Amino acid sequence: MALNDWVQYFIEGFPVGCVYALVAIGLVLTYKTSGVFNLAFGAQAFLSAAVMYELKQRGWPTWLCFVVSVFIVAPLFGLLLDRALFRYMRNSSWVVKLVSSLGLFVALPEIIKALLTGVKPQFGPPSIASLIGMKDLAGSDGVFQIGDYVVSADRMTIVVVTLLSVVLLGVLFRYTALGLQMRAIVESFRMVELAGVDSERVSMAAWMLSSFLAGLAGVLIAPDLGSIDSIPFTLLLVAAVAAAAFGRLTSIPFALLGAAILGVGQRAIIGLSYEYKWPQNIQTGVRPALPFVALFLLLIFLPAFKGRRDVTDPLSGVDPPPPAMAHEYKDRSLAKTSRIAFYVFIAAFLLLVMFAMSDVWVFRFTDAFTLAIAFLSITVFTGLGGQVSLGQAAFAGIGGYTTANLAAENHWPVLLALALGVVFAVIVGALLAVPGLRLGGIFLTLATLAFALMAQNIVFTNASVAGGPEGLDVPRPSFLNGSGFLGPDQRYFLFVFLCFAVVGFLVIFVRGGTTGRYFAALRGSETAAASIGINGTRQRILLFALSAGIAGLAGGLFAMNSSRIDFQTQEYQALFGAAWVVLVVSLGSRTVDGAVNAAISFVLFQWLLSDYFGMEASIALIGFGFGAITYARHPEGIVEFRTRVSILAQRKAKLLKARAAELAVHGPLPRGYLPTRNVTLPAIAGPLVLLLAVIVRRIAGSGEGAPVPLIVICLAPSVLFALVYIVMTNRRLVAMGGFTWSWSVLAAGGVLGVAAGWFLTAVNVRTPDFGSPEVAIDAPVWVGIIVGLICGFAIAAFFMVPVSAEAVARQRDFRTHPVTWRAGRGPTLWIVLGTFFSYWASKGWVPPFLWPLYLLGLVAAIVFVQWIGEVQGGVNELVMGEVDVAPGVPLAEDALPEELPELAELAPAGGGD
Amino acid sequence: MAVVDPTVAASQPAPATALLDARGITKRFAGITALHTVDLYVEPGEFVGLIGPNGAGKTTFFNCLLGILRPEEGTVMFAGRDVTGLPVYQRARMGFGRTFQRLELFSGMSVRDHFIVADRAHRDEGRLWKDLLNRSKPTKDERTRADAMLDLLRLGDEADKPAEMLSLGRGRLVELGRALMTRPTLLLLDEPSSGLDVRETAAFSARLAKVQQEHEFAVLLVEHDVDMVQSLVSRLYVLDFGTLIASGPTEDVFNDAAVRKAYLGSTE
Repeated sequence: MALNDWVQYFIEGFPVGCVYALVAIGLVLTYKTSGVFNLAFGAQAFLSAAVMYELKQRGWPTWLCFVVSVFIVAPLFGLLLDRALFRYMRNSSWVVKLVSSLGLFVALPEIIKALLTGVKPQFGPPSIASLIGMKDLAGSDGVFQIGDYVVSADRMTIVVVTLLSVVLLGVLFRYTALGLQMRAIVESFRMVELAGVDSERVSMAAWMLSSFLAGLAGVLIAPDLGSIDSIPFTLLLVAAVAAAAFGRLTSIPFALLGAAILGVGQRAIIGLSYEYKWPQNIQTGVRPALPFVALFLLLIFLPAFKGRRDVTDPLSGVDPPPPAMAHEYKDRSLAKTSRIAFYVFIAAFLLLVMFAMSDVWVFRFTDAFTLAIAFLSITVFTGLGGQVSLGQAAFAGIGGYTTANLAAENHWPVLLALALGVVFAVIVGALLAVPGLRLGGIFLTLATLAFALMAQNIVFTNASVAGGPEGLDVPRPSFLNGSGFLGPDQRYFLFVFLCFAVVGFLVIFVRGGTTGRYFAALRGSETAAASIGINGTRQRILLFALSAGIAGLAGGLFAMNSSRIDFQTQEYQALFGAAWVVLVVSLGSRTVDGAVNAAISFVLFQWLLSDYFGMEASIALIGFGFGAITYARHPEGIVEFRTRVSILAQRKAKLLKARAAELAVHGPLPRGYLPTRNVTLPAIAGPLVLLLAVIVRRIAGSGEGAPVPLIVICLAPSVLFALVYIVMTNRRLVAMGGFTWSWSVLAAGGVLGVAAGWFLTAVNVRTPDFGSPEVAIDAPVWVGIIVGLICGFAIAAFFMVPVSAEAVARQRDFRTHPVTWRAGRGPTLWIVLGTFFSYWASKGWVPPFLWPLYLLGLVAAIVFVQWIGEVQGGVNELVMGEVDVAPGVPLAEDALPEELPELAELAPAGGGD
Repeated sequence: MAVVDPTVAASQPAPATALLDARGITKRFAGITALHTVDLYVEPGEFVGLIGPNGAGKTTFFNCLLGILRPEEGTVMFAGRDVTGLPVYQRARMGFGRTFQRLELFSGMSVRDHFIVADRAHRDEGRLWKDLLNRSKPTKDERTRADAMLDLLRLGDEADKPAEMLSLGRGRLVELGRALMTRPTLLLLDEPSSGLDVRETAAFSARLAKVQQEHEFAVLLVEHDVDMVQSLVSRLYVLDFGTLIASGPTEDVFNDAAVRKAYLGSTE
């Protein structure tokens, strides 16, 4: 190993290190000023590179492209992130911030691809070398000659620009008021405000600056990467985190040094691997994996991260406590009803899958429940353990490849292979827990991400693990094959469903048992948990092992589902695993139904977008990513939130009914009181009858969707009822003092709806699929007008009626506002989705069996019924008087009770002994 | 800086019956000596106080006793065993119980669950396989014990409220109850009166005294509130700048001139 080799490595590796440094500095900057560990940083670099590329493609001069993409788009995007998103999370916990940035990490590259570059990588990104005169300074062949070594103009540009930026940043931090404020704000946002600093402004500046650095890095590295593709940019983040970790996430010079070491190290590894003739897969795998390995090792061995929790705000005590879990509100009779409903629902669902659905749909639901098992591993890790792991896909991979190798290569019985896969995942999980013990919060998350990327790039690419390019064939359990009562696919579905049910119940048992309670205690306070004798180390290992085992089981089942896996199998890829986490936490990480909902919507949306709309399946990630942003508002998850809303509405209905029964003894009930059940049942009856009719037709052997008359006969009464209900309710609210102008709003909604309906059915438009002008919805104009009238009127009412009810409640000084305008969002979303659907379905491409339409229709009906329940509950409360529905919520004055004087007398007596 | 008064010996040798015996505890943070050869003992069932001005090293000493910090020198003997190297949770199982100066409740957990978890951690009968077979729901015995503790501390009304919804005073009682559920032989209380008003402090002391009489555990109390210390404690240690400046029966120590100067800041 000669010295000149190392000089060579340095010269070639240092520029890459410079780019890492830019991203690392930006990362440290936002982390220190907002506490947000911005995982989307690589994606922001991608944004600027993509904008630059697109503008250049359109023939803009290079300097203008550069200015627009780096100096305008990038800072504006940073500003957008701060204003629209992260400023609302200043005082949130690290999990909220992490999940939101994880959502961006998942969604942003897909948005950029959808809007700018397209799915395929674009080649030949423009360089800015000529802009700053590097091309002129370089020799005639466009390279710099330094002694015996050559440096391309692009790389020289990277070095010059980076060093310049670092110097400027140093000056900014050291000598300006803004720099000082940025450094101060990290401790406590509220404290700095108390000291008279406009922290909004400081935070805006930090976000714009850091985003600018990301954009600069992206534009600089693009020529070196040679293509505009999301993944290398996204992974730029990991290298940057590793570099930042070098500086312990605080020191910018050390981050710079770390970045340089990484860049040079990556280059050196290639040289070394050639020189010492390392195996092929190490040669190709280690270079991209070096940042992951470095990050993993740094996190684990640097004392700075030991036991490090995120900054706690000294003023965090002023935050209101989070709401209690839904089941806290549930009373006994309600719990019983919902348990019966649950079993009925499960039985109906299984019957549907077994006897009514086509094989394709059986396969999709098989996939969904396998995914649900994988999601349960997140339920355990995040919901019970309170930590966030991005490594679940790697554990799934461990389970999957073990199963496949034992079953396919060694011909073991596949169930035994599956069991061993689980055991192996458990062992790896437990082993990973040991170095992970010292890490908490975001640092553990980063370590798991590094672990997953290492597994994916070093282990799974190995031909002896994943069977090389051909992959591995995985059989299904033999007892499921052969002919018999049900088809093999149906039987396999039952097998997967059974696995899921077992795991689901185990998770529920663990949550309610000792382990779950210990997890909850450790989540609440590790010090206090230790002080009552809970062994935190053991529990942490248990947590890792349990969740890894569940993920391993899911991995094995994934392998069986698709019967063949290879090194690229999607389910075992780290970034895919990140998307899982986003989805599960935004829908609800504490409950099993959260995981099921997440899995079904994952599969359903992928199908919707790819098969139905012909889009890239990865577009679904955008929706999921944005779903994560709701996490800030509902950390308990959307499913849990909806459950609580509906439980509260039911409780309210019950309490008011009891009050009504009391009043009825003395005289007539107040006008306007109506038990909610009397309203919700007629509204749901029609859709239920339709669904039933469809199932019956299917079992009787009809492969067609339901005929239009049947749909109209079933739905029309319910729709009419709903319209009458809306009109009556609004009239009542106006009479009670609500807005009289609400009539105008409803009328306007109807008029707009009519216009839209007429437009879509009568006016020729250019539709994307067919190109030629034609009407968007191929239906008679009068149908369009009627449907438009109903939809427009209903959408206006969804928002208006709750607002009106709330206005009345305010006049009467209710503490709890019965309903808000937000209640209207759900039903509106489903109406819009439904319209969209019928648009596509009417394009002559109607699938033979419209299952999903009916399922979505049913969900829409349920959401609508929830809306009615909320509104009628609110109205009932208005006429009957306020009820207190939430137990456990303290009154404003939590004074000590009257027993106190007696105790005060006790005090001297006790001490006198 | 503080002058050691020979009349009130700063360190008396611990009697052989001592439950807790900490000898020569020294702790340094990056060159600063936070504790300098501190000796302290507690006898079974005894109510001992540890006072000192802010920054005297009281909490550091506490953390050394519990194993949250490792002292550079010195040994901690508990019930005749050397526990200096043991982790926190093992000490807890041997009979250390503690409360915290800043509330450390299990957020999201109800008061009753706090007690059940502590009870279970103390008995250490929970196993993962029992969970997996759904055999570890709270038993009748556990509920009875938790309810008894709720009654004792008069927390019955708050039993099912999540801990973070409680007031500070109630939160301190929950911490006390949680520690008591582990049947400690030595209870370490870290400034239980901080953040409480006079009435709440009185209520807390009253209940503490009552419970201590019933369960007969030893208490080591770190406290600022002189009234509370005087009413509860039979023997007192005074710490200043990491050094023990006085120890002995409460009244003697309070009458000591050096203590008045260093801690009470007056000679009235």
